[in-house]
Amino acid sequence: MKGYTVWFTGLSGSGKSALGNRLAQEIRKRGQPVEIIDGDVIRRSLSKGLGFSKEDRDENIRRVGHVCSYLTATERVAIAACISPYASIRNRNRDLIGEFVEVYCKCSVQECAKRDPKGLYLKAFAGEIKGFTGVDDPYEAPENPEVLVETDKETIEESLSKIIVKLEEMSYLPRVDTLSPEEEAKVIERLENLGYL
Amino acid sequence: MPNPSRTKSRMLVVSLDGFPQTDFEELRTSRVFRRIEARMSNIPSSPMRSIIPAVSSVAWSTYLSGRNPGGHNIYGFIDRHPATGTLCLPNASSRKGPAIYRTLGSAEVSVIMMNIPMTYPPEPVNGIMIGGFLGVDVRKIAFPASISTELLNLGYIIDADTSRVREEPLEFIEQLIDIVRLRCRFFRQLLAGNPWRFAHLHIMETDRLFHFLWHSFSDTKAEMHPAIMRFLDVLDEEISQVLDGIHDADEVMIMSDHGFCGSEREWDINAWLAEKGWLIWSEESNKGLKRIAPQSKAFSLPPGRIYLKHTPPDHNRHEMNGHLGIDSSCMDIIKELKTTGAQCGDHPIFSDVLPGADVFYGEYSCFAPDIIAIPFDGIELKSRMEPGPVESPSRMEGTHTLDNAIIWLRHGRVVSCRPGIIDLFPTILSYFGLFESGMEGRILAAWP
Repeated sequence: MKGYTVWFTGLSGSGKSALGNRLAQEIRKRGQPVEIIDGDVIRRSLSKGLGFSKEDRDENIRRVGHVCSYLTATERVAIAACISPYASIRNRNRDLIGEFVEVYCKCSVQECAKRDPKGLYLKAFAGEIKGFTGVDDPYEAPENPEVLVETDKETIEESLSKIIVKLEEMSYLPRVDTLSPEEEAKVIERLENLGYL
Repeated sequence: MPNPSRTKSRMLVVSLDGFPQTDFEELRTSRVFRRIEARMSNIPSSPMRSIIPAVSSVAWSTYLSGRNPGGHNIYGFIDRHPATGTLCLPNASSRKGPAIYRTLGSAEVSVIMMNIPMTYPPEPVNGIMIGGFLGVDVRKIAFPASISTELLNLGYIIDADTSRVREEPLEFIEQLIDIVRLRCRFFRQLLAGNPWRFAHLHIMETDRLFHFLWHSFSDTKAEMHPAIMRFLDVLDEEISQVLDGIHDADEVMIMSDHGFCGSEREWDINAWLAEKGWLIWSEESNKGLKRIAPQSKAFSLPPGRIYLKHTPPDHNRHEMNGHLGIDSSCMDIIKELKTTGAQCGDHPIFSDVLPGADVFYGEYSCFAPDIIAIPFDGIELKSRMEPGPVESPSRMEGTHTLDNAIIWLRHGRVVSCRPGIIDLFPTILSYFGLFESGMEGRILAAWP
């Protein structure tokens, strides 16, 4: 198989990790090896010590891009779920990785703040966190992502289906096929009964 | 680019599997389908041609892809696996080319598709997809999966149980009624509760009725005829309720995928090939294609597909090559089929016998049969994988016809002569302003 990277970008709380995890399940079911590179996890490991200045954010995303590039080159599927707020470093990763599918998780700040699974928006609005993306730090939305999911308007199933459809269309993901032997036996019995065989 | 004038439009397709247009018109004018008629136009339906070979798996693959079998790779209910040469059952995953729900979905036209043959296993779509015939497991029948759970809880049945029709025909008809009611009711809920711009409901039960009870359908004095009329009345009631749930401005297409007629006889091509020395049976213990001895020169798969064996005999693999063009064996078989022995009563068995290369074209025509035999109406072509008589009485009461399918529009007008099911793909796309040149079919309709 050909390796590829699915790069989720969007505000904190926009559903990147949730969708990434669901997508990984689906990709595994279809027999492809997949790794999830979650922004929060990377911040605690590979990028430990980096801050939230533009330079540090770019360095964090550069590192994630490097990991994805390695996984893709070794015929695996990399799913990156990082805010990755700046277009220039995302595009640099696109060029580096090649087999790159950008998924923009579009969701209003209000909706993300309502979800606020980590309680970060509350702190950002209260001024306890500075330079929070979408509140007092910019988020540069992708201009031409391969997939746009509007997670404040769609169910997770609907968003997931859009991504799967695109991956199938781009021939990255094989379609589910083949019946089990029991199912085949049932179909043959039915076709015989209908006089088709 | 979508035509802006069509960006708000919606279209509903209701298909009645195998319903013959002439019978449909008779029932419409005799007020059996009075409720549907009141919600459609006064212009009669038009006859439509299916596709060769006229079976649901092929016809629906053509509807879904807008391609002939050489383009979508579905030639029947059973085929040879291209890698192993063994028999296999093609399903939605084997179908190649574009799918109408994909093309529409990519243009932000959300879809609801229910029960269309050759859509199992269901694909993720921009909307809802409930797979149809050849689907076996309700738990896996739908996308999104939550719909499968709902259907499972409702006791949804994918296809009628036909194992005891002959013993209990009345029970069978009651079962068809229950299935139609449940399917239509669920479809109405889907239409009411979900965004959609293209929706398609398929009724498979008409095909089942005609296969098993054609005589009772066509003979008004038959004992089962009143029960069949009750089924048709329920069909009229349920579909009209579906139509009540949409806007008057929405386009409606009522269609069928092939016609139907009474079945006179079965004619087994493999038995004939064996009689003529083209096919040699191997030991009885062998099954499937292995029943055909390696020294055979030809064999057949239903319906009416004949393949020549071009490879040297190979006991281990029984590999059958794909279509290799027209050779002398091919022409000999065609000639013999057309002349010797191929008569049934006062008419021929075949309305035509053609080289596959004359009928199938496209990327997957390499898997096409070398010869395709088109039966005369009333003849059921068989390709049994065991010795038997060439001709025998029909086990089924009804059989498919290539012509006499239905197309009927509510607002649009069928403007093309000799419409075919292959034309529906471009016709539907044209309704949404998405038609692109280079498609196999033509646009059949003018839209107001």
